[in-house]
Amino acid sequence: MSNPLAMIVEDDPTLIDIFAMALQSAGYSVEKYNDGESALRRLRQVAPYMLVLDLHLPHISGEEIVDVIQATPRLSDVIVIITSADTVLTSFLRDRVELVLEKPVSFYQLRELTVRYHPDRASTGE
Amino acid sequence: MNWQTLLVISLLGLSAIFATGLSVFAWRRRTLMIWAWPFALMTASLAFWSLTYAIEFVFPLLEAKTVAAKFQYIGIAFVPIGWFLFAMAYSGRERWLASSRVALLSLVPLVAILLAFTNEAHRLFWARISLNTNGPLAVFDADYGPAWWVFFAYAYALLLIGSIAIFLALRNFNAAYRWQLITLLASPILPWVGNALYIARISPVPQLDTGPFAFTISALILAIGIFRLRIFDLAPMARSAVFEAMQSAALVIDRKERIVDINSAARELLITEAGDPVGRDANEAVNSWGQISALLPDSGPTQAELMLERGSLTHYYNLQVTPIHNSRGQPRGRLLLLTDITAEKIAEEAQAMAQVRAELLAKVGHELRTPLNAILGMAEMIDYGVYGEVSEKQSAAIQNIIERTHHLTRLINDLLLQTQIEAGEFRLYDEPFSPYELVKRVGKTLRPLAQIKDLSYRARVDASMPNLLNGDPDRITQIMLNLVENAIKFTDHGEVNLHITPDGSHWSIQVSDTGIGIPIEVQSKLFQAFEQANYKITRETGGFGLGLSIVRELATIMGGKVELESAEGIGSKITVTLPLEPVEETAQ
Repeated sequence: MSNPLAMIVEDDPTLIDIFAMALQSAGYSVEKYNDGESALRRLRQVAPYMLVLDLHLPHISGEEIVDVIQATPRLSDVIVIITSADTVLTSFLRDRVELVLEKPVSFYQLRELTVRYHPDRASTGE
Repeated sequence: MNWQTLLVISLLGLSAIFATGLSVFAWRRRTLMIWAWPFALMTASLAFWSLTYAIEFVFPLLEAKTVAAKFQYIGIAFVPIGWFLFAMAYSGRERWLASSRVALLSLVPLVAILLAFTNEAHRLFWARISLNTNGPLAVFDADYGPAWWVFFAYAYALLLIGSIAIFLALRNFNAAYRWQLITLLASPILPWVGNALYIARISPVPQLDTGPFAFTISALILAIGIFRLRIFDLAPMARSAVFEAMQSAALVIDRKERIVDINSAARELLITEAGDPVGRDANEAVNSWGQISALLPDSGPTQAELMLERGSLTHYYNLQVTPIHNSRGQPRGRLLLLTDITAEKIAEEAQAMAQVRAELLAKVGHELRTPLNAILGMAEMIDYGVYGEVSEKQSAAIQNIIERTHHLTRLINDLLLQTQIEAGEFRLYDEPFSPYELVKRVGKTLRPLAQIKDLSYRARVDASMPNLLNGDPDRITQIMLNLVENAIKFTDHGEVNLHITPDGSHWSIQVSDTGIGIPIEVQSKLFQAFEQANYKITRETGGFGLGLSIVRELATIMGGKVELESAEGIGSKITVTLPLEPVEETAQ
């Protein structure tokens, strides 16, 4: 069985690599997007299992992506995890997404959390 | 009995009835107004005087008239005392109502009454009495003796002093009370005139003492004052006292901007020249009048803010302008109220500055977090072996980097939180959380720090703690982190313990250590922002001294409290108590 798809939207090239590595080691197949526009284009084609989303993005903000996901029934099951340095903005989105992680997001922390959400682990009821 | 006599008897009878009514009216209000009972005394005396005077006319013979005249003095004697006491009380000199003073004041009238009744023995009161039938009335007539003149002087002295007292009290009242002033002054003057005319024998009806009529007319005027102008409802004295004692500067000006009334706060703020400013042009008498008058609208009420110099300081004032109209609605002047709002202004400015600071720090924090995330993430990836095998030495160095990054993150969080609290932009969440999870999280974060210092760290959650509580898990974690990190920081040997226990309607987070302890004299400063007990230690251990201040602020916001027990060289124990809100566990 192929690994579940996790999309990472993050404009910092180092961070996107760190998050990608954490998710890969947690058993996900990872796609990386460094702006909101390309992420949205991809979301029109697929419904990923998980979306790791920064808020301050070029062109289209992470908040707008959250709006689109919530307005699209096809994407209603996507697990959205926000990673942001903006503590004020994250506080407003807390109730609308699965998880909010304030930067710095630890590699270990992200790996451990996403392992918990992994369908293999979830289905075995661990 | 001729018709003239009947008319006089009827008029005096009416006067007596009317005065009795006024007396009852005032007597019933004696507990509400301190001057009500002297007013009742005055009108009751007046009623008695009128009644006994009427009786005098009923009997045609001198003997009977003499007896009636003697009884009249019981009333006559107490009218001036009633008036005097009323005036004293009304003008705020209540001490005159003390029973000892009333007794002293009553001495002369009592002697006068006694002498009137015993006149036949000494003729000191009336030297000679006769029946005057020169006119249509048959009246009691007398040549006054020395005792009578003493009594007369005494009575008029009381009337005069009372009138002066009321005049002085009412002099500064604003236009709304002008009519009261006139009525109150007219009422004692009328009987003076009437009675004096009779004594001088130039009365319009030569045989008749117009005194009781005059007094009754004044009582009537007072009654108008009572009913129409409501002097008994809202005491001008009380009103004047409030006006005078107000913290705000109050100034009444007429249409030509002349000062009509001014309270002491306004005198202090606005008047520098000596002398009474009432009646003067505001433009001349009032400091900074240009500034104030520029804010006055042509008509209608208004509110504005202005700055005035007080000594070397600038104060902010709220100016409230209220137009004053007469009973026909014509503008008469305005009331200007100046309230010092400097303290509020300073607080507002401080709040605005705190907000700017919070926004700035949020931006700085935001900018620091991304590179910090890169450092942390890369270090952890090396540690995880992404870039190849790591030696034990390398691993130790990497652990140090990771630990320092976490520390830096906590410092940024503390700083941001502190500024948010100061700016009032702090938001508390209310969601279910597991206290066990929080303790685990704290252990995971700080156990490595304790290990570096070779300290034993133990965390324990009491078995009777509920599984789930409502609250803000991140902020509660922050309390625990700050307490434990602080304990580790100030402990070099021994142990640091975190203990969670239920405590009735509350639950407590207790962190104890075997550290250096906190000297008594600095314990009170410990929970203040940017304060640390020992600056030398601060330099060695780092930090802004925000940890405990944030613990206290958070605990307070959550409705809890912080307690500290500490002994120098032995250790410290800090207990944070928070309201216990267990989540109702529903069967799934």
